[in-house]
Amino acid sequence: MTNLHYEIVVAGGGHAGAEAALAASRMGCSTLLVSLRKDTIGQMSCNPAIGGQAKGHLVKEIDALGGEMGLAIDRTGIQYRRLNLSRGPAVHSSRAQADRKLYREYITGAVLNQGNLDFLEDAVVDLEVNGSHVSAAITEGGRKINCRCLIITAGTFLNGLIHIGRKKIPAGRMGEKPSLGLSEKLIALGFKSGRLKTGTPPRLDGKTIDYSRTESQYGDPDFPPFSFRSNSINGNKAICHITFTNQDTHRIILDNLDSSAMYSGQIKGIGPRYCPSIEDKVVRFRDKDRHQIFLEPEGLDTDLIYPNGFPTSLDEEVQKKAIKTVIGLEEVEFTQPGYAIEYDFFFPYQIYTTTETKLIEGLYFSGQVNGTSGYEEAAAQGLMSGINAALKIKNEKPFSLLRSEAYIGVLMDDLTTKSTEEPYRMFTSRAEHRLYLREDNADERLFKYGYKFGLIAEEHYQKFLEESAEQKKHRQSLKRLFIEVKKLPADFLNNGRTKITFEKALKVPGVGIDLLKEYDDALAELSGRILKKIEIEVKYQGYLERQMREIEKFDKLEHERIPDNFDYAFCKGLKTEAAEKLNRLRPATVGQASRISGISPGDITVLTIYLKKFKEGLRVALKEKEH
Amino acid sequence: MISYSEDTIAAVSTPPGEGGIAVVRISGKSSKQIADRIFRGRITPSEAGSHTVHFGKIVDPDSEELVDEVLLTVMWGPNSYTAEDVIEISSHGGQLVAKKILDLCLKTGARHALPGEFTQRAFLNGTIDLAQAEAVADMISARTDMSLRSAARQLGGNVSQTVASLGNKIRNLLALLEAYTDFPEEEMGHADIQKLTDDLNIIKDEINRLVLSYEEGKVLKSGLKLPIVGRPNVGKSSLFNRLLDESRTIVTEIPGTTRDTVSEFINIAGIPVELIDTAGIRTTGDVVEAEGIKRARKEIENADLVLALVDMTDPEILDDIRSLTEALGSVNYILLANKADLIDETMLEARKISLAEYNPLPVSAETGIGLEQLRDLIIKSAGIVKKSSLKDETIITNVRHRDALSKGLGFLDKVEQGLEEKASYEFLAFDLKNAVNALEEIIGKTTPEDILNKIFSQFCIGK
Repeated sequence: MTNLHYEIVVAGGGHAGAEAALAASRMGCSTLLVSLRKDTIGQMSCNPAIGGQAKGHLVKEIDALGGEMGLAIDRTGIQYRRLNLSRGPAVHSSRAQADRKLYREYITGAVLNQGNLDFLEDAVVDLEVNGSHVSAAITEGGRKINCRCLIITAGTFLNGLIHIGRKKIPAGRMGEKPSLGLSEKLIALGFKSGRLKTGTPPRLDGKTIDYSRTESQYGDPDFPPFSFRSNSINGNKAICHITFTNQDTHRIILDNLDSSAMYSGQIKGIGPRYCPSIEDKVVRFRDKDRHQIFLEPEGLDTDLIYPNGFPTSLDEEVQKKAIKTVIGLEEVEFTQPGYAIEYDFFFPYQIYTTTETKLIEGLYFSGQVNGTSGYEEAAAQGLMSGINAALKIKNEKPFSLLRSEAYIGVLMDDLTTKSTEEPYRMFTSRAEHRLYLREDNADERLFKYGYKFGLIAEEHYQKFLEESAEQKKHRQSLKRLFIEVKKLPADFLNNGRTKITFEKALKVPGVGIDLLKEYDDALAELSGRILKKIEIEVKYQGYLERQMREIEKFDKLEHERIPDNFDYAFCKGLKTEAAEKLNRLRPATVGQASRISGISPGDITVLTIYLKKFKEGLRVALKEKEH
Repeated sequence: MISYSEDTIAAVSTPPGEGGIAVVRISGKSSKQIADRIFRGRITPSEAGSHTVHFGKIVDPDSEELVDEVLLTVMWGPNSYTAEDVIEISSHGGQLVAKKILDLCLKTGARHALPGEFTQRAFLNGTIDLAQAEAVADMISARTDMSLRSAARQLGGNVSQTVASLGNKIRNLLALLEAYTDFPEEEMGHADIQKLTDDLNIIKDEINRLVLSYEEGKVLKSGLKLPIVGRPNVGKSSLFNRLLDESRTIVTEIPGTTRDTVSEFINIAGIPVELIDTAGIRTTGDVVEAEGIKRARKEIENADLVLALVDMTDPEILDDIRSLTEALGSVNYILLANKADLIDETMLEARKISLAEYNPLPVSAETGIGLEQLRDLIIKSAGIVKKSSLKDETIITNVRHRDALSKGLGFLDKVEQGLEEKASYEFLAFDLKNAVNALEEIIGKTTPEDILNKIFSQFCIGK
């Protein structure tokens, strides 16, 4: 057996693994990334896109903390769009089609060229634990890698099983072998696992598609880069197309439901409701006469098309027959059938909000092994794992984010307090402080952390500070600048005044900063990013101030810490099931406890009463235990 | 408040007084052992199945002396009222028997329950929610049939149900807005803003009605405080007694209660009214006539309504009225001219004209003249106009609930304002969420999952 020594080992080279390995090595720790294949680092297993509603927010946050995803998609995207622009700024989100191959190559390059970071083509199948601390990773190839931290980012590979109709293929992804054995080792160590399912559509040969009868969807010309550190994007170089299923498609699917792995009962894992298979959509929404399909190009030098909206585990022949009824796809050829995949995950109440497992120190779980879905959710956790593993090596305080400061905070808090019933995906409605957690201010919220950890370079941080100062200065100047009322939209009621301040003018519906900057040279010189921030700050001042007041109130409970050694069995008034749940999940704060499913407001009242007593010095029960 | 130990509690659960049966209730871990020790029947209580009833005898375990023949009802936790092991012993009526059985329970390991402690345990163990727990407390202190009915409705989850259904309607609106916000790429068309506005208004109207019902509810629950004030010898005590005679006296729990107390509850149209005879308040020291009203100062301050009494036969009645009304200031009062039976009709008409400015109601404590009118006036003056208490509408009797609803209503006003200003959905959702959270105290918390569940069941999401 070959013995290797690293401070941190990352098992898995997907979106979580890559971010974890990059962050850990950039923070100065000797890091090894172990993955089955060098040519699949950063592989997009499902749709070739980054961002989208709430996910765009995650990408911006990952970027502000010094992650790689934003930079990667800025370099390798082929169509960029801003979603929800008809709504307020908090729910604007960025989405991009990626060139699947370019994206993977970019991430692979970043990993292979990173100092402090080595790559090993192998698979982690076991781990050694010393006391309650991880001490080594064991690979399939018979290597023992001594380490202080091990980050597991196995994606859908743990006991992965692909279903196409009645056909079952053990695999981690189409064409790649699953990871066997590691699940069982972790279960033997005491971890509780479950089974989830996800699906993917067939891949189509674009040369066999008739686009003339489909709708075209173009990118947005003025798309601000995902990354605060990018100056530009790769550009809008591809077009997506939209087509629809019809009654014929639905009839074929309904007639052949028994061939669906989902409906024949062959699949035991639970799939996501927000990304249902086409058979699920047809069955559950029978009165809907059509379902839309987005034909997304997979890259610039390929004809591959990803039919977003058509994931399926039907028999391959049925898939073909059904999709050929769709307008424009009558003659379509498959390059790969759609499939469902079942995989093991570990219930995420077993990790802290830092992604470290509660059971074994130095062991971290990230991505789909925690029951999440999505590249962005995975990357966010990977980044948290990488940062926290590095902090552990340096003997520094662990890092977690509050729900009130980032979607990543919401993500980690939800994972550790909610029961997992389906793969977890981020939605803006999950964030109670949504009006504050915007794409446009991710840098204001998180750059300070990225900089502190050394993941944001000095030059970028200085630029950010300068921009912030400019923003502040010009926000104030709006109170002193005046604009003639006649220059504003005619329907504005001016109460007889001829001039009003820029600040007041900006609050008028339909008046944007772009109009005002025409009348002030200093404003006109500011970058679009700063102008936009000022506009948002003024236009939505009322709502934003109320949101901030709520955050203040909310954070009080978040800071009400529950001691690690607090014994819930001691709280006689608590329901037994509540006490058991709290003892199992061990929330760090009263705020977290209040969000655990099944914990009633009454339980929280009881808990706070005991906490108060506990903190006041009624520690007798505890002291007896110590002696 | 909270019991920090796991002890077993017992109490006589039927009201004091002579009744057909009396019930002793035991709750806690030792219930089984206690029953085993004092009950003699075909079965051993601890081996009985839950929710079964057994005939047997209660004996003193030390002497095997018979106390009574009883029915023993066992309900094992968690499926009991308190979620603990509960045993109820139904004995023959009479305080003495029940007291003896309770003593045996205390002797064999239980402790006497504090007032409301069974309910408190039920609440802490999660078998009833806060609204229900409060209703139980209200029910115990309910003083009339009407307030009992209101409390009973709340106990049955009436307030919880009504508000829960409102909360659910708000959640539906929220789910709609969130669906359009979170899934911009789905084919869903546009939200029907007109329907949304209409739904919002229906919800607001209902909450508004509930908030307004509180004043009525409060009266139902705690009753009206109604002192009778006036110069000596205007007939305060006579009026007090007359009103008592004409109405059923409610408070009879304490044996030996007699009319020489200064306050009594009477029932006017189902509303408990606490009538206070300020003449009955004895003060020490010299009390000059002009200060008659000062004696009652404290009573007046706490009053919902004052019965200001003057003497119709008094030649200086106008002066009396003036000093009385001046002393009452802004207090809500009904001016009554007593002894209306003692002057003839011409005189009465003359008085009415000369006193038109004050328009006192002529009454007679002696003959009962005007008392029917007085009762109507009392009900009207107390603001009980809608009489929804008589219908089966939910009434809010709890200030905490009223405040939660008012707060929720405030946020719904903001939603309405947002709709008028064509605010984007996430801002409307912000205030809808605040509204739902305000109601949380009554309906329990709403999680984002609740909203997502609604979205996924209503919309076909799938890009």
